[in-house]
Amino acid sequence: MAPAYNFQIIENCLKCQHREDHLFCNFPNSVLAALQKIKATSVYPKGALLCIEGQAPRGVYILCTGRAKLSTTSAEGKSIILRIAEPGEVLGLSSAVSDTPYEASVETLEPTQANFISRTDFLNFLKEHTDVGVRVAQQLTHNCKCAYDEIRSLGLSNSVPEKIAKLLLHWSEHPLNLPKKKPNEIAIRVTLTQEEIAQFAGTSRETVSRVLSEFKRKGWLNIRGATWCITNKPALEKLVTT
Amino acid sequence: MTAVTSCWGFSGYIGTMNHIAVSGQNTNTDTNTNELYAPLPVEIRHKLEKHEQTKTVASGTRLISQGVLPACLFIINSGSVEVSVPSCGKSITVAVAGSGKVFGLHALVSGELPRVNVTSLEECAITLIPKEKFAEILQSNPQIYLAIAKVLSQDLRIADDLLRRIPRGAGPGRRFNGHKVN
Repeated sequence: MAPAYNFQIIENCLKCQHREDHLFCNFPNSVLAALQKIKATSVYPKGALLCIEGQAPRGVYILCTGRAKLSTTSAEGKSIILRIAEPGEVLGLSSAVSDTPYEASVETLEPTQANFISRTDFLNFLKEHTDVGVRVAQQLTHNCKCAYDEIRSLGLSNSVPEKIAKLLLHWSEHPLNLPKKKPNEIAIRVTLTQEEIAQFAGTSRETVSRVLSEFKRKGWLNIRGATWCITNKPALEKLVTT
Repeated sequence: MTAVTSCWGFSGYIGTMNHIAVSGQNTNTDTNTNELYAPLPVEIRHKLEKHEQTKTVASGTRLISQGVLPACLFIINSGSVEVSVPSCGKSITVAVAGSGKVFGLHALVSGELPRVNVTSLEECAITLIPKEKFAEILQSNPQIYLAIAKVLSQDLRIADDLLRRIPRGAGPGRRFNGHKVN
């Protein structure tokens, strides 16, 4: 199939080159063949809403390509980002398993391919294949770990620069493969706006802007559009105390 | 069993000055019912029950420690425990759980070190299942995974709910309704 949105659409899970890298895709061929029969592949533009908080769980989405933000509304009525989902993650999992409304809205941050599986098909798939049960449990554990880390960050971090440094360090775990101007430079793709970073870090857009300017002034960070270069990772690490 | 599952569960928070209490009312007369067993067929429950050990622990006993793989699955039969996220000598309370709550599943299914501490707040009666025995039964009865997924989903909902409640910009030493920073 012709490339769309700068990526190749993966129609067949059995032929996917990324299956070994993704938690929920690295199944034996027999399981992938069963998955192939129940999934519906779709491609979404940036900004598409896959599901909405409070909506009855229709099923799950396996993120094949692209990233998506999971957001909800805080007790104070503000929009907050719970986390950013990466390729290979299953979205809407806890709601589908427990038949409760979706906990968060999922919006694509870039052109995205996602495989949808209806709740009934997914639960049967889970019951019939032990491997799927293991991965579902691992995915939910991973999601809990992210939530606990976020609680730690929001509740125990001392300052906004620390929270933003943590975010940058987390994103640096998925660096872009670009030619480096300096040996220790780490390039990352940031598709979040400053407003969204503020929602993630629990602060205001103005404060995010000020902190990022400070990081740039100190020579820790370069920003060129959506490509950000962390030029002094140790300095950011020193900021993180929790 | 379905009715039991829906009626016990962690149906919500009981907010107090400094902690979130999770209601874990078990209305079933079967004292062995907990969030993991409730959706399971009787024959699998019996297999698990064969390996159960019961114990009473004093207030302040650490059942799960951050960074230490638990050797057992813990089921709270009576009393209450605090689940907290620690960091650098400080901690934030995620929930207070009561009877029917199961701990140790995260580490057991993923092999990852726990991110939380679980500490008894009073004398608690608990049931323990050695992780090796649980893993054996799990291997031969994969339908347990759906029950595990339901427990983990509940844990995730509690954590996400706390994330919604944490006032943005709150830092250490600041007390806010529903949970505390020590």
